[in-house]
Amino acid sequence: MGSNPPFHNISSPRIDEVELTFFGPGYGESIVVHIPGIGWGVIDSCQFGPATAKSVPPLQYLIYQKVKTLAFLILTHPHADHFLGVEQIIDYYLGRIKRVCRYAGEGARELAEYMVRGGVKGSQGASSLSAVFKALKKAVDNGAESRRLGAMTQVIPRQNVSVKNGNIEAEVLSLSPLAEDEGVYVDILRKAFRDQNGHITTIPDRDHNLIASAILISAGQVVALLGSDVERGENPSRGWRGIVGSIDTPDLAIKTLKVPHHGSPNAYYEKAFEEHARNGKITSVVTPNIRAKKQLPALEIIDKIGDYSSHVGLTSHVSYLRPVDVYDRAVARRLPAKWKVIQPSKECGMITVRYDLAGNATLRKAVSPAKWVKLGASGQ
Amino acid sequence: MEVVRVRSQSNLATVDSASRDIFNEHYFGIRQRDPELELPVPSKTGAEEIFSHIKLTVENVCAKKEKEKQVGWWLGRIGEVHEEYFTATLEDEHGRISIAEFGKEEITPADLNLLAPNGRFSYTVTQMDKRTGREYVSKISLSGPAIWTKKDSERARESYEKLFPEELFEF
Repeated sequence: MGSNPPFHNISSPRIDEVELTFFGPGYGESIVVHIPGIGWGVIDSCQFGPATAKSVPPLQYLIYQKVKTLAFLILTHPHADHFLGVEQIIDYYLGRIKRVCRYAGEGARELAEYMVRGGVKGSQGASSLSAVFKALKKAVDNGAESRRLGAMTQVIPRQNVSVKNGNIEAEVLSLSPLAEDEGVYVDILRKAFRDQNGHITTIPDRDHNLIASAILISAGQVVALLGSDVERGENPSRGWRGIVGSIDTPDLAIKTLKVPHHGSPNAYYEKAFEEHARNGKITSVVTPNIRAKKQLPALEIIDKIGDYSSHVGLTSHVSYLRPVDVYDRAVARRLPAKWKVIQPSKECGMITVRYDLAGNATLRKAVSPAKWVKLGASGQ
Repeated sequence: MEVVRVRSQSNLATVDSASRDIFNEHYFGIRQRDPELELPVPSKTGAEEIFSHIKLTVENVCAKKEKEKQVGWWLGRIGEVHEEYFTATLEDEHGRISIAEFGKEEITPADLNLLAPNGRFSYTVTQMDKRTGREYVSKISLSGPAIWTKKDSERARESYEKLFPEELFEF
C-alpha cells in the first residue's frame, strides 16, 4: 500500500452510519470502526509492506478519513499479528485517544516473564511486546483511560447518544477471555518456565488465544461481532462454547462478523453461527493468515460460514509461487517437493461495510486484493 | 604447520539426487597437518599400495581446489509433526516466506527428539565445486533445547526490569 493507498472512491461515512473497515494483508489484522455518537475506534493493528518500508494500513485509513480523535483503541491479545503498528497509531494520536484497552488480568506478568526468558535465548518477542505495553502506558499518561479486557468488560458503556434528530443506544463490549481460559493460560505459562532438566519449554502460539477478547459493537439496530482469535473452547465453560452458553452474554444475533481466528477449524462453533444468523444471514469477513501452520482460512470453514452468510469476504488474496520462480534453478531443485513460496500482495486491500441505524446495509466494498467469495442474491 | 580448512557436512546432509554421491558426515572444522607428511612415500611397491598412494596424492591436491558456497539459507519454524513428515514455515534472507513439508528422513535419529511444534531450525543449500563436478547439499540444523543457566537467570531479571517495569502492570 505504502505510497498508493487503496482508499480512493471510499467516501467518509455519514454521521449516522456505522462503518467497519477490515484490514488483513495476509499476516495481521485490524478493524477500524465508526460508531455514530461515539466516534472512531481501532481494534488491533497490522503492518504491510517490505521490511524496510512497513506501513500501518489502519493508521493510513484514519488519516485518510481525517479522523482527529480516537474514542478507543483495543489490543485483543498479545500476538504480533494483532499488535504490530499499535505504537505508530498511539504516537500519531497521542493525547487524542479517549480509551485504551488490553488484557491485563491473570497471567499478564507470567506472559512478560515467559517472553523475557525466551528473549534471553534469542527470541525477539519480549522487546516487541514491551514496546506495545509501553506505548499503551504512554497513551494513559497522556490522558487516555485504561480498561482491562475480560468477560463482559464495557469498553464503551451502554449509553444513549443523539444522532441527527434522534437518540440511539450504543455500546462496545468485550465478551472474553472467560475465567476458566485465563486460569488455564496461567497454568500453561507457569509450566513453561522451566522443566526439571532446566530446559525452557516453548508453548504453542495458539495458547495465547486463550486470552483473546471478542468485541461486540452495537449501535441502534446494528450489531457487529469481532471474533479476534477466540477459539471454540475445550469445554462448555471455555472459548466460544463458554461465551455462547453464558447467561451473561447479550444477544449474539448480528449483522457482521469478523470471523474468529482467520477462519480456522479450531475457532468454528456451529452454535455460535446459529445465534449470529438468527435474524437473517450475516456478512462475514475473514482475514487470511498465510503464515499459519496450515493455510487459513480452511476451505471447509469458508463453506460452513457460507451457510450462514449472505456475503463472505476475504481481506487478502493468498497465492503461491514455485521455488523455481523465485530461486536459482539449481537451488530450487534441492528443495523438498512440497515447497510453496508465498507471494505477497502488492496492495493491502480492505473490506468496508456500512449500515444505517435501522440496520440496512448502505455499503459493502472490497478493495482488491480483498474480495467477496460469496455475494448476496443481488450480487452486491 | 599449515592450517587447512576441510570440507565437511553435518550428519544431516542429504544425498544429491543428481550425482548420487554421499558426503562424509562430520562437521566443518579446521585441521592442522604437517606438509611433509602430505605425500607419504610407500614403503612397499605393490600395486595396491601404489594405487592407494596415487589416490591419496590426487585427493590431497584436489582438496585444495574444492570450494563450497552457501547458495540458499532459511530460518524455519516447525508447524505440525506427523508420522513420516513435518511441516514448516521458512523465511529466507530477503524476508520471503515459504511453506514446506520435509520428510523425517532428513533428520538423524539422534535429533528426532528436537522435532517438535514451534521448534526453530536453519535450512541451507550449499554449492560444492568438487573435482567430480558441482554438487548441491541441503542441510537442516535444529535448535537444541535451551539450557537455562544461573547467568541466564541474571540476564532475564535485568531484561525484565528494563522491558516490563512494574508500572506497565498498573493498567
